Amino acid sequence: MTTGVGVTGVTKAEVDVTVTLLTANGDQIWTALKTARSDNTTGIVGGVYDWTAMDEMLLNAIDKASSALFTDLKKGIDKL
Amino acid sequence: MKRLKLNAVILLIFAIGCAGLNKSLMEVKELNTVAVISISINGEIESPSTGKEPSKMKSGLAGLKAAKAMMKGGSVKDVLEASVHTMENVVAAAPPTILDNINTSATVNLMPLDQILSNDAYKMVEPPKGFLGMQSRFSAENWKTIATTDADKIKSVAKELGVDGIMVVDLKSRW
Repeated sequence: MTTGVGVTGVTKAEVDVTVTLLTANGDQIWTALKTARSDNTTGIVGGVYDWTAMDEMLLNAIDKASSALFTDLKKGIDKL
Repeated sequence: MKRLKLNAVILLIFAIGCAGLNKSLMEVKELNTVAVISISINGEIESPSTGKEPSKMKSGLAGLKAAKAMMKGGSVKDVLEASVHTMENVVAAAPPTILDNINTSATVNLMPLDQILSNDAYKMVEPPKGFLGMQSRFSAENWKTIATTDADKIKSVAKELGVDGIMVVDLKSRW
């Protein structure tokens, strides 16, 4: 989506979620990235943004990406 | 013979890679209590079309750069600048004046790693409407939250609490 004045249309959100685990000393021990797209869409009419709807779209995408990351990490740990 | 040697080298590299990966996972497994550092940004955005009705927006964003700035003893200014940089991905349309209206606070959230990885904890809470961020997705009951904007205080709190690890969540959104 192009943000700006007068944008009209329907859009989806896409989110890159990067999770990094550091030790208490600050050493990086694990990092992974997942990208997810929101399922739903929202309308923008006359340049007025529905931030709540956009936030929810982002949250859905963040949910999907984060859940996938944590599941992958847990699977990796369980295999040890 | 050359191909055999090449295969052997590839296998060796693969084995070293796997060993490194397992070592990292072993280290992750040893983490018990993890602190999640997140930066919350509250601001009001004026509608680009009318400029009269500001839309309220709350963002709970945890930026890797912000956390690294804190870990390296960065100033509050460093942390805020990194936070705003992260936020730029979300509010690309916001007028420059938004930077004057932002209230920023940082929180240190604690949780056992196994609960984070269970996903159940992650999905336990419905966020308030209009709230964007990771921390709202975890059950507040399982968290100790310290709201402050003082980077030194954040570091000292994490130290006092004796955490084993720190989780940083970096979000980059595209519309």
